[in-house]
Amino acid sequence: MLPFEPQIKVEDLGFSYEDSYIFKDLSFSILKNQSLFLLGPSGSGKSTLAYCLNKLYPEAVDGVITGKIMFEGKNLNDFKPGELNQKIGIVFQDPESQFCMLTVEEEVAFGLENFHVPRAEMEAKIDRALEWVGLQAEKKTVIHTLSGGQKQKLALACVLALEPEVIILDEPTANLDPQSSTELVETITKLRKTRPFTLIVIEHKLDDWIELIDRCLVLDSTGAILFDGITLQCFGEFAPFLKKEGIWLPKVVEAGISAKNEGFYKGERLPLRTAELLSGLEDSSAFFKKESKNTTLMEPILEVNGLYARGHLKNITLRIHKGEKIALVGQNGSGKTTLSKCLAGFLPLTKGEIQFLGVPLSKWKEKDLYQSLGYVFQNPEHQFITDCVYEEIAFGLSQRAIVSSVLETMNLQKHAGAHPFALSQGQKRRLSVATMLVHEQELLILDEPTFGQDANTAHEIMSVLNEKNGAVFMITHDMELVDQYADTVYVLNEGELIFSGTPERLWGKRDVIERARLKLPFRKQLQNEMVRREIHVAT
Amino acid sequence: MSLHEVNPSIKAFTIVISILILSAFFDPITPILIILWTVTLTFVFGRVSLKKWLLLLAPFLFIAVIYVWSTLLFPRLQEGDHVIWQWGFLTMTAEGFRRGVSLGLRVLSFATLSIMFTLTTKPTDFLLSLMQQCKLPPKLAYGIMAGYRFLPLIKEEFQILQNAHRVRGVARARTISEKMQQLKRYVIPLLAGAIRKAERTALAMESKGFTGEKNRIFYREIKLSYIDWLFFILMISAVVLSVCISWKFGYLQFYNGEL
Repeated sequence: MLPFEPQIKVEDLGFSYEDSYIFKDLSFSILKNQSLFLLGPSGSGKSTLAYCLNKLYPEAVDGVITGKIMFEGKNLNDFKPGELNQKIGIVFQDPESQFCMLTVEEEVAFGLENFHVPRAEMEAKIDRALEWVGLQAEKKTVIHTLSGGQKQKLALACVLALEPEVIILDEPTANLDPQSSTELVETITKLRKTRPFTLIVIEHKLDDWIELIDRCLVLDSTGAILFDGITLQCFGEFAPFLKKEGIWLPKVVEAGISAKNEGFYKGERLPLRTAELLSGLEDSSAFFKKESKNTTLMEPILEVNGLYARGHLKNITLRIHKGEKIALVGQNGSGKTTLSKCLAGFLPLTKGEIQFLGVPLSKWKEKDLYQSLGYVFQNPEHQFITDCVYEEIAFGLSQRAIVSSVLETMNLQKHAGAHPFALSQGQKRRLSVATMLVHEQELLILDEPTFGQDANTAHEIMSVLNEKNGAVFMITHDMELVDQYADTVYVLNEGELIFSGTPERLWGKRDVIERARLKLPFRKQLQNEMVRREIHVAT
Repeated sequence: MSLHEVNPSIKAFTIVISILILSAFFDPITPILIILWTVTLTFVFGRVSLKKWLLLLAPFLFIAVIYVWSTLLFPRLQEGDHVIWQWGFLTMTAEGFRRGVSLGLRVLSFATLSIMFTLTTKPTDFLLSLMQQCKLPPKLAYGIMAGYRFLPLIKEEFQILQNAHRVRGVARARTISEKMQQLKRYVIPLLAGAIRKAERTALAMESKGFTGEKNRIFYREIKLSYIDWLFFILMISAVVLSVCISWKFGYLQFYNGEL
């Protein structure tokens, strides 16, 4: 390989699946040890492109690939099966389905076995890889007992053990709590200092990564290249275009855009770092005007007293008031989903009671209960029960007149006749929320409603929920959502409620934030930064 | 020495051979001796929890009791059978009783042997051993291993689906056509989910360079030692010995398709 020859060279790459193109005519190249973001709205083919780069596609699916990809001057087709995987490693989004062995050391060994590493060398390589990610102590542990963050570190260790030249991360933090996400990024940053490798990152939450990334490659919804260039230029100048495509932006850039729109950001280009944002702000106080919400609480609709369940939830007491918007936060495994399932009457309680609209939950007739109480599951497909989108919304309704207006609010009118399973990810999510909105329930419980969605869909869902009359009880990892939409936030830690109150109060409780592995929302981080720099903020 | 340390492939082979030999004979003595021998081995050298063992045995015990019960009460009457007891249309004969007990014990002897294997063998070890000693293709073995990990996930997914449909206000299915409808509603998302998970795992395995190639160097070697063959010889001798004892006492009889 010549010194200036790109490590990966893609020429006129196209990929089609079932006669429709995911993308075509893509050309770009990546230099050795570069680090880049691969961005795009959901469905733009980011993951597909990543899988093409290490030859997983088209073999794994019935897709057709056109054009060519060169790795270190050699066409991908000339690599033997499996050969390239040692050079290009990948960490996937879902920590549950990327392992095939029982224990940590066996899983790391699996990759080494595939490349015929002599047995005498394996142990040392496994130890070294685990040390890099800080999992030495878990060597003999059974994988399914690890936390989500540890699983992703293990996935990284498996890749690192093969000493690859390129590492692709396909939404590695999607299932992690805020602290674990930050830790994963820190691990990678540290690794790259001692052992350089090319890094390709597909991500939604960009802030943690921004210091690490030199370059951005952005796809639009049709799979064409929207932008290819340095990070500074990508967000500094083109951010508004990206935003229009529904691509997630770093919070700092988002803040810069809204400040600029309101005319009090005077920087030449949009800021990438907090410091830049602050120095460009003319009137910083205007920036922190948060609409004060109506804080008078109406009568309670759901009361939980001394609830114990599943041997995990301990002594939970809470009230949900009419129309209240509640966020439930806490680290992976803290019992959030268990609690939400108890509230919806799916799980039996060991002790304590739940009253809904003045009647104990156990006394409700199932049919009446779910007219007044809705639940949106994490995977939208679980809730589909008919063969077409229109019927899906009309199910159980006496008046069909409102169906079309619901379709319109959710931007689904064009797909009224489609099969729910044939929709895109974002459409499925919108439909699953829509089916729960039509009954005007008093209480709607949602398990991570914005999970895996692009910025536009997430925003639409949140604004619909915000305008809803009934109460909303939502599980989330996203502190920005909590800050923007919640009236009340509950923090769950190891099965116990350790905080309840307004988001503003939570942001002041450093110990709670640390214990539950949460993070401050961007707005608050910025405020603290200003205080540190002794800039006076009137809030 | 522990049964857990016996090479899983040899262990499986031994159990299969023992069952094959046992199935050639039909009498109450051979199986009862084998049951005693197996149970002793299981608890002395297997350190197995009694609760788990009973739980696994329970269904077989049930079948065995049914066998004895039905052959007792509804015997095929033959010329020269010795009637022990008669009441109305129920006739109990000595031959019928012996046949029933033989059948029941036969079932239990097969069951105790299989349970000894199941409770003292880790599934991963068994698959590793099958690959290393019996040349089972890795593609198949790792496929089975991944599938095995999915089973609890599918159960979890099924419960989620039930709840999800309850919230949507789908009434409990009562008639057969409603039940069919409900089955259809469950099967599609379950299959879609399972296929997607399987695809993801397959992709992850391939991304780590797995090609299904046969000559693999294994991190964990499942070894063969004299203990394995000792186990084999001990087990087979026990079976042959019990057959001999049964013959000595004049009970032995070849199996002739009795049910």
